Amino acid sequence: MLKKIDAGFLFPLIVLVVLVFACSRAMFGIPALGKFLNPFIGSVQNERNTHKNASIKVGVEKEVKVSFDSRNVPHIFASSAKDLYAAQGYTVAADRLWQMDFISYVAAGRLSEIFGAIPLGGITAPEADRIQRRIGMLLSAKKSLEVMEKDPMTKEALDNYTAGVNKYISSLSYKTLPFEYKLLDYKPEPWTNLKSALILKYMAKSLSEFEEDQYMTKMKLALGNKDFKQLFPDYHYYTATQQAKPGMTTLKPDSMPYCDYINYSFLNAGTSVWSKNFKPAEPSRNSNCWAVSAKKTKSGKPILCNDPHLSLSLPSIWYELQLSGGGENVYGVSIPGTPGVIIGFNNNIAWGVTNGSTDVKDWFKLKIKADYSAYEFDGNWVNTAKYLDTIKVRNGNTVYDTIYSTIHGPIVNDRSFSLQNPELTNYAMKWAVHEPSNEFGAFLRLNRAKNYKDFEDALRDYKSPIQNFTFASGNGDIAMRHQGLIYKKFPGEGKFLLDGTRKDHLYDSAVSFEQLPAVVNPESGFVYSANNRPEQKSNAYFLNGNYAETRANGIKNKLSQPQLFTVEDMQQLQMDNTNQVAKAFLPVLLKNLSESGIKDKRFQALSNWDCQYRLTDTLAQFFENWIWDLKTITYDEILRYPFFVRPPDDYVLLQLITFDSANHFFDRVNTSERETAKDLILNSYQNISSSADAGKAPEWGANHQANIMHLTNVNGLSRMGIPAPGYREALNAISPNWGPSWRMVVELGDKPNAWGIYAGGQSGNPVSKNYDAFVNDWLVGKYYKLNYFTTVAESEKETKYSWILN
Amino acid sequence: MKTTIYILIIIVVCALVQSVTVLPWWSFTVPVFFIGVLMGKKQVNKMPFFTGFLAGFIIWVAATFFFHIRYGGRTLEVIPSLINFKKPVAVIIIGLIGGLITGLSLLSGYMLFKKEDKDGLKIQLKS
Repeated sequence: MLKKIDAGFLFPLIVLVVLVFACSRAMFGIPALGKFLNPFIGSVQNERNTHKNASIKVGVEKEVKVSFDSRNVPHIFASSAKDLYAAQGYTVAADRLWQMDFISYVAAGRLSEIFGAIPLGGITAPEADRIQRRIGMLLSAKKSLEVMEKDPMTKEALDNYTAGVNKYISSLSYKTLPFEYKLLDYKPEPWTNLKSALILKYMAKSLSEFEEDQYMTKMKLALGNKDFKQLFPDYHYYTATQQAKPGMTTLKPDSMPYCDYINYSFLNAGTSVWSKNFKPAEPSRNSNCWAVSAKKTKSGKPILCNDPHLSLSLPSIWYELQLSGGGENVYGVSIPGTPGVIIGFNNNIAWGVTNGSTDVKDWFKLKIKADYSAYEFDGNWVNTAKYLDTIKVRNGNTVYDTIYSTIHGPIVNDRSFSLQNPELTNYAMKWAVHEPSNEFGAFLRLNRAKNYKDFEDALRDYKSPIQNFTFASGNGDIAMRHQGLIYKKFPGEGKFLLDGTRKDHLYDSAVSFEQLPAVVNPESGFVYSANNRPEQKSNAYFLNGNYAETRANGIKNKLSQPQLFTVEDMQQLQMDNTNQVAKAFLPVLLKNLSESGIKDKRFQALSNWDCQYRLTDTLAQFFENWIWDLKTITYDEILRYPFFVRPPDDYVLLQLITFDSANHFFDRVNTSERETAKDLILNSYQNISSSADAGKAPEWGANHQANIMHLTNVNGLSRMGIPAPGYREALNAISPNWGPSWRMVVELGDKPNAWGIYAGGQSGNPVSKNYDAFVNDWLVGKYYKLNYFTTVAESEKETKYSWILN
Repeated sequence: MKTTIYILIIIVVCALVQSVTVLPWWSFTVPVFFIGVLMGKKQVNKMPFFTGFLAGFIIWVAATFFFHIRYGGRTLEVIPSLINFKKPVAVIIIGLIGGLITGLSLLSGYMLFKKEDKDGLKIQLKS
């Protein structure tokens, strides 16, 4: 009897199979629960500490030692450059594999392969991918890789880095797979040199996005030349300069009439929605960097400081390490997925960067045939180039996209797809990020540079993104270079929309290396950059950009003082919470108020206020509201425009108040009287006072909070709502999602002494205690002494655990 | 008593199978199925689903806590928010998945062959 099979067993079996199947795949935004929650191989296993003493087969030629110090910073000692980069690839992958892999997907426009057709913040993954493809990210990474691989040094570094990463990937099983792969239910693909190039393009993109062509064009038409130049000048009185006094810039292209081609027949009226609320300008420009020469420091040694500001994310964009071997010994922060060190120091030199903020993205209005086959250029019809792109979609149909391009660049928005910017449909985009270039070569050479000449040689072919490279060397040189691919443009070219049919609008000749803004060993004894307008050496070309002068002026004022600086002074300056806008405005505003007869308690408090935006400051929020209201009533004319995006620079307002207080912009549209700056200052002060008197003055930390978001924007993996001191116009420029991603102070000399910290932790693993280990110290302005070892033996007493790679 | 022994056997077998990490996450269902066959043959236990469920629930929850505590105690603080549940509910879900899958495997194995005493099984299925 027992030998007979009972078909009834199929019933629970089928239920079982269905259940196993359902728990094996991510559905409705819920991970594949069976795998994810399985205690033996699922996410609980990700907290296991895999970092301990070990001997690992990586396939290097000679044994490589990786010593991790107490903060889990690896110090890699290899005998050749080849082994060094293989070890870097393996080590970084062990801590940050998912992050680097994910960013390569983002850059390439391949999110659909991970997320399928689901919406990602307003648009679907395939739509986000199409935008990314259409702006040419994947193509430009491929073109750049060809250039990179022609340089033997870069190729060797990339090939070995890739091999190192792949050694790590091949060691993984489901149990040891990084957390996010389990969460999103996919597997890492093999690493390639192209993925490294994509990460570089991703950085180039995020630092080269500035464009206002459309907005400036509309503004110029609406305001007329005279008013436009007053509100949106290329230079103003407060433009920071390396050596001269404020306002002493020799170049004044503003005096020239420019861009007369812009008129209503060139640009048809827009169709956007009326909006009175304006957002603060995008804070994508808050980096600081400076170097002081030996004669200005107490120790008699040059000091270099850098705090590049980027989108705050977890895992952090930075991975700290030391690379020693093959004729170099460099310490600093690297970008996971790329070989070498991006910002750091070696025995002889230190270097840092801030974003150049120069406009490298321009739009050309085309005259194009309805079928996109040809466009008019210089009086002829020229055929467009056509590219068929394929976007794979997880659990969905492949999306095909035809991308047309002209001599200028890709037609990002066309009739079939215009989500990037519908108003720029049938415009071609010319963007410096498209130019093939080998930035890895530049950084790898910087890593081993010994003096100023090496520094210059390293940067000679560096194109994108444009950065202000700041330099200091142990032998006493300091320097700053605004380095990158900059085209020679006529005054106003690229600030506005350009005419794609005209040959004279298409620039193609680059400013030479020698002509780029640079300063070496200035009289003042210091160099600095803070996304401010670079000082041009000649009048031969036009520069415009997303420049900010506030922090530059703050740095300059401090460093101009006759005192001798110490490392602690420099750290305090990086952590300075003084709102430079408030500092510049407050005396002027208070003077006006007192002339209007205001002498109340708040006036007294403001008179004694040091413009600090610390957590507990109560005047900070008042000042914010006040200046906001002042801008709103001053610029009521332009706020009415449906295309309004951002108000003029703060300094422009200060310049108007100071030098032109009867300017017609101060006259309010909806009143019969004729107001002046003084009236508006009083009005806005009273407006904000009456609402502030009603309640208790909030402390700055109550409203100003930072969010350090995981790359997927999943809240559970992020650090959110952290009360943060500082302000976007203070040197400690923390904004809600943007901030000093890495703070570094290096004192050079016989041996460098360095301090640093970044907003994250060495591990990319969200369930590791090292995921956000530095965040609390970073918030309060603590610095870690960086362990720079000259020999393996020296590293041993600081070693927490080590790997022998062979 | 017999139920307890079977629960212990299942727990040990599951832990052993799962320690081979290259196997798929559901691989423990295979030996549990065969334990079910054995149980069915011996007819020593009339509650195969319940026995399996209890064993699966215990092993998934206990192992989760064991690894969670042993490795540092952060995982269970992070995971519940990712699946949109509070911690106790997340733990119950973990147990339910382990329990249901183990229970169904054991029951399938148990039912593979026809039994002499069908009433017992029917009662079990209804309960």
